[in-house]
Amino acid sequence: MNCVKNKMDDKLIKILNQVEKPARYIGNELNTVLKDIDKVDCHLVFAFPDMYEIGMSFLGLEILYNIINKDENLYCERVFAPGMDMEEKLIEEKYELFSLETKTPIKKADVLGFTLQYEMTYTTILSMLKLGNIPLLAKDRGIEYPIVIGGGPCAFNPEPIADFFDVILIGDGEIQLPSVLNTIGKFKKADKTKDEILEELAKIDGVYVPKFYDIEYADNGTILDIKTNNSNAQLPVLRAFIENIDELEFPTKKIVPFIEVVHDRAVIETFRGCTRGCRFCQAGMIYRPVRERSVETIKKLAALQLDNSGHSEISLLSLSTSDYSEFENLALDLISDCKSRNVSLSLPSLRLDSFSFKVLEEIQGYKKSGLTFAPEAGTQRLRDVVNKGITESDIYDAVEQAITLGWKKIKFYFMIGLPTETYEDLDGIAEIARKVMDISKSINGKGGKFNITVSVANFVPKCGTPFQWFPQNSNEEFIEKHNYLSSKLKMKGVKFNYHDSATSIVEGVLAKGDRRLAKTILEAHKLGCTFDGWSEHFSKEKWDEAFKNTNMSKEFYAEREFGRNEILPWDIIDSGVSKDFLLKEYDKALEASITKDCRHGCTNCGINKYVECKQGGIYE
Amino acid sequence: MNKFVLEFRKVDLMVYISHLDLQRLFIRSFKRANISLKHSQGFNPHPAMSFAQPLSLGYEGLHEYIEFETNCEFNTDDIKNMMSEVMPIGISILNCSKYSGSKSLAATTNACKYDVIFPKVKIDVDSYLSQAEILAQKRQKKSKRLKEVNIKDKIRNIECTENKEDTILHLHLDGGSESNLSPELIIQSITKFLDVPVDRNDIKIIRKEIIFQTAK
Repeated sequence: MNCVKNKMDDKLIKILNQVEKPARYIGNELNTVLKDIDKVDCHLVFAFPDMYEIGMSFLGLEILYNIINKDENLYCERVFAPGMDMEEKLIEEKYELFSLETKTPIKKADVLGFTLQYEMTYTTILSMLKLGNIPLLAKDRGIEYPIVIGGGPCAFNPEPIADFFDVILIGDGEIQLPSVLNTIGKFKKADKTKDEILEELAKIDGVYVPKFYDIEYADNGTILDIKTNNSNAQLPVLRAFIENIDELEFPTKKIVPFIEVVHDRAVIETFRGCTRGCRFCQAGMIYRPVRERSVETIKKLAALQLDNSGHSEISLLSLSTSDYSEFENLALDLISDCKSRNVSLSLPSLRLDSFSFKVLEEIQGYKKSGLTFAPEAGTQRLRDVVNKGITESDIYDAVEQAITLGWKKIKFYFMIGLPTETYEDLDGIAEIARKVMDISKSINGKGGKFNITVSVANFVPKCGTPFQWFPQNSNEEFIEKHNYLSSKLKMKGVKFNYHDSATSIVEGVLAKGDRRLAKTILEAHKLGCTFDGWSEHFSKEKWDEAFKNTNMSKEFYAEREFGRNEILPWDIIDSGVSKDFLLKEYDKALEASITKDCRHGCTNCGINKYVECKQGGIYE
Repeated sequence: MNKFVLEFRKVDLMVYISHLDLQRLFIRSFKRANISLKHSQGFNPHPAMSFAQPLSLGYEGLHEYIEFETNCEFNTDDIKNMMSEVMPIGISILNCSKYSGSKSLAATTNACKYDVIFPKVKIDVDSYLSQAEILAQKRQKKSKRLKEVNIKDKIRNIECTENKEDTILHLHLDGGSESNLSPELIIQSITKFLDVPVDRNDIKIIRKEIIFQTAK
């Protein structure tokens, strides 16, 4: 193992001596993998376009890192966006961005793979390419450069970044990514051209090669036609599915970071997908159907991960923890396993029913951390519009229980700018806050220490959801609503937070944009935009300038209602959920009519055309 | 009492992990090695484990020490082997022994020896040491302000050697809770006093030895 290169040269040592938290850049953490790059067919550098502390909390990286490195022909290393101080030093010293494991310049990799978790990382992706001395545009990269690929939720509208990527992967990556890498390895060995490689890749399930598609635009700016220019290119590109995740390889030797990261703990994915059908939620649509791991598998994986990492906390990951079909059994088993190991158990996104409270009492005891509710909207009407299946009494009953059990802090999440929203709905948010404080007074008495945080996010319509056609609020509308809520929520014990609206609007544009936006993203990058997801780095002025300089309109993408029959930029991609279903849900939203959780009866989203939906209708 | 002392080395890439990181690393490593540490009582139990002397970020440590107490009996060789298996490259476990001292290792730490490796420069140690007072700027912990302090009494010895590429200062300084001197203050004051043209980032520091009051 020691013979493999993972040492630093003097120049890098000097750089690391001058930056904050140098351990972000050294690799060498427990359970990382060292291989000889010259002895594998295909060498991938997995790139996370944000800081180490964020990226190392992302389970998807661990899953793919583990699977790829199990294949002896493949090697997966990591790279994260360097902090601003490191970026400056790298530029100053002309030192190219390198992989953590072998300290190889990322431009020497066969494949550079970015995870696309959030639209606001797009400029950071360009910063990383630049720091790696890799041409930003796919057309400028010959075979001597890495093939740049991307995948993740933002891949469901890959168009705004299509020009930067050679290949975009849609859907579950566990089988598809190794098959892509093996193909690249085989073809590179046979000295094939880049185009020959791309043509071969285009045949694989869920592989989208942007350059094989031509987009024609109408005079009004909408899309007239999408055509393929290569016979191997699929249209639409159907997402890659994995039917059974219980048998799927899952990391049991999780990488153990040296420095503190956001989520420093063992983590097991219990299931993928969600049956609730909230109409704003992209994850709830694009990861269908629900596929579960068995209780036995989860327990076995948990034990192995803890053994191999020494972590003192474990968490379960899914879109809605308590929807797991055998949740009570699983929770009780894990509670007792964790107790005997002296490990704390964390269960995020619980539905707050009586069982959950029992579980929370058990795992938190006297150390009650905060409790979070996400009613999403202030009135029942608007909650029905978004199909958030909770009622007023659900909220107040849970609050009452929580306060009775001794919780002193509760957080509420809402969204503003939702379709059909009026100021009455905003009043509803304040109403909920007031009622919660009243409940606290009646239980704790007047002097009781209790406070709540009302956190408001700005609605961003996302592709692949029933709300994809809806316009987003303008910056002015958002600001007005923030001000309105600010004054309405001036109550004792209530803290009000909201997200920056200018960021949400750029996010909205990038979420629903088309290929022409590449030049705007490129311009924003040239103007110095990077880490746009961090409020201290985001610059509205620079983004405005980028739109202006490239003659592009934010309003056209974010504030326009897209036509029902309009060809959408992301029609190239098929998530498996039918457009018919999305349109029906859109219409039902306008009538504030709810659609049931599909465990209580199939709602015909169309996914079972491609893959067996085991959970559909199980409670019918 | 199942008290032990591990002697270890922290070099190469591992110089970039901080004292707190190292603490977390050891806690996890004990867990991975299946060595159950005794925990303190109370609301926030923490493992009975502490280092003789924190090592600054960026320094190599050739003979560092950590003491700990386990819940059950162990053979010292077993601990050494089990811990060696779970350590990352760059940290080697050198030795494990039973500890019977009444005071903590930190309380008995008395002095430290460092090698400070400069790129080849001339350093006239004698004239530096012959000053009546050796003054250095020390940052105050609370106010964060720089304060001029006389460090002469805390310096036990400094020698200078040279090889083909480097000039090396061998420092023997007070260390521990009673009196402590950081090599940074030596570097700062010696380069200023002798006007040595060198960038701090080109200097490498190795802690070679921690010296205890009584035999360990």
